[in-house]
Amino acid sequence: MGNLTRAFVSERTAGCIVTGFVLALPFLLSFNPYYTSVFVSALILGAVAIAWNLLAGVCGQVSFGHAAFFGIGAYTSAVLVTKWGFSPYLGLVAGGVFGGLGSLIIGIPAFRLRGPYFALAILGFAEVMKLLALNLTWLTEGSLGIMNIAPLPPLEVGSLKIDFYASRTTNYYVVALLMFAVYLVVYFLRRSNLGLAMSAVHGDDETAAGIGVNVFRTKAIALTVSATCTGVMGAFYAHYVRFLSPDTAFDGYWSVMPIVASLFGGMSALIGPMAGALVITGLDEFVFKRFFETGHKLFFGLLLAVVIVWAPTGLLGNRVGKRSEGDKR
Amino acid sequence: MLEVKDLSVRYGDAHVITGVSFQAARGAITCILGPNGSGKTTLLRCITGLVSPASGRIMFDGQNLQGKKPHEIVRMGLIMIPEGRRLWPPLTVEENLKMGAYLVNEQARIDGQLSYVFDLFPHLGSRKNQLCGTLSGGELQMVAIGRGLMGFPRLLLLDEPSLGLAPLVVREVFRAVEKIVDAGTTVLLVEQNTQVALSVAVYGYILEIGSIALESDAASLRENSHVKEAYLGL
Repeated sequence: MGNLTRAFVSERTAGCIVTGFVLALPFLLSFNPYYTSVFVSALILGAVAIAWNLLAGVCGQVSFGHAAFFGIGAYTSAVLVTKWGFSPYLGLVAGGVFGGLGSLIIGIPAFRLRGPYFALAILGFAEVMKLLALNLTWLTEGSLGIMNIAPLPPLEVGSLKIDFYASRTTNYYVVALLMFAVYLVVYFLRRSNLGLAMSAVHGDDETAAGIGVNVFRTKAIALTVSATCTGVMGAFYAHYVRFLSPDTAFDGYWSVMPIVASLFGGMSALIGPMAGALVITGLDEFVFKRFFETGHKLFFGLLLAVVIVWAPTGLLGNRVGKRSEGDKR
Repeated sequence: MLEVKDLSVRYGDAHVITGVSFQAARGAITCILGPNGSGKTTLLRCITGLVSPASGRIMFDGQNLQGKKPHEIVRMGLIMIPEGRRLWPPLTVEENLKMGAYLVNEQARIDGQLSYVFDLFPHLGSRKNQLCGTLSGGELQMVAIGRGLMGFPRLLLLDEPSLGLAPLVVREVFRAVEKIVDAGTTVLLVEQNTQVALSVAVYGYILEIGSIALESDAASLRENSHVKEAYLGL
């Protein structure tokens, strides 16, 4: 392990540092509002990655198809708001609920499978959901997509009026709040007894069963919570972009990029995926795109290869968490 | 305490266990012996609910275990120490032990049992903050048994505790197992190390190609010519 000067911080400190950075970012980027909207996408991705990592990093069940829950959340909210006149805030909640329910539909049969087979089952589910969105035209407008989705309306608390769409910066802080909420859910879940059970399942699910952990229930809860958070983010995305088509809502981007962000940021730290999302977005925007306008996404592959070879635990991997005596040697 | 009747297990078309019946008497060590591939581990996995039987009945303390999930069986007090230890390497010795008390809610009982385990294996006390990934095979086996004890078992299933251990360490582990039985826990021991197993067990069964070939009290098994020839190499 060698490097004795390695910084070592607790999950809570790392969470505070990254959150502080997220809060300060709009001031650093104030020279060009375009960058603020780039980082709104980074925060959406970061929140989905944190949720993905609850299932993969904490409970050990890798999913290749979180686009399914993202798209379900986005479409649920878009349809409820544009067709039935629901409030977009209810849409966020409903997006989460339906994302969670969708995960149970695939999770209950898929948890009979393990490892890559489970991951592929969810990938298949995402494709099926995309086809449904394409073909249930009476509900989703098919490939035309849903246009003019209402944005989140201003919130009025007493005489104080908060308008999220006044500027890109307020928009940014809404998604920062959502991201932080997702982080807190995952943070407290891991500290609970259930989180302990998830870690046990991650280590070895038969041994976990051997100490009395209900393995199926534990996996199902991890998946449902992860999918619910992803669904809420999808619903937010619908009201932020204000246009949905099956290709954007169920885009493979939402399945692949959370994995890239988590691997890059470090899966053992709960805030790692968020840090990863910020860093890869920053690199993409300020470095890759400068030099290679087309094909800059190729660099994600290269970047991932570099991380896997030189820092397999990711950016924050070995630096966050508890230090144990075995580490000191 | 444990009564298995006419148990058969299949993996697809492969019959792994056919019509096995045996009993484990309360407060004693019963052993099941047999060569590689005879179905010993499958038998244990079936008792703990990890594999479901094709037919037959498993009774634990008068209750039928059919259809029970692994965690429900653990809750009833039937705990298995799996073959090859299967600990959590990134956790320390003490953390691994405490994980064994996952279903126990009272801190006082956990602390009490923890000091009982450290009394049983004094070796582990000095290493309680060490990561399990850094322990020797014997120490790992002790942690594995300790973790099982942390769940307050009434019946402990041991799957090849002697696997890969030096003879001296095997003796130490088995002395501890005898102490566990003296303290009131029943043990079902599955072993390939026939000599050691028969020296501590009261009753033994020989499992060959998925069925019981021979059963008797341990003393007469030691004298049995088939056992002597095939298992003890005498």
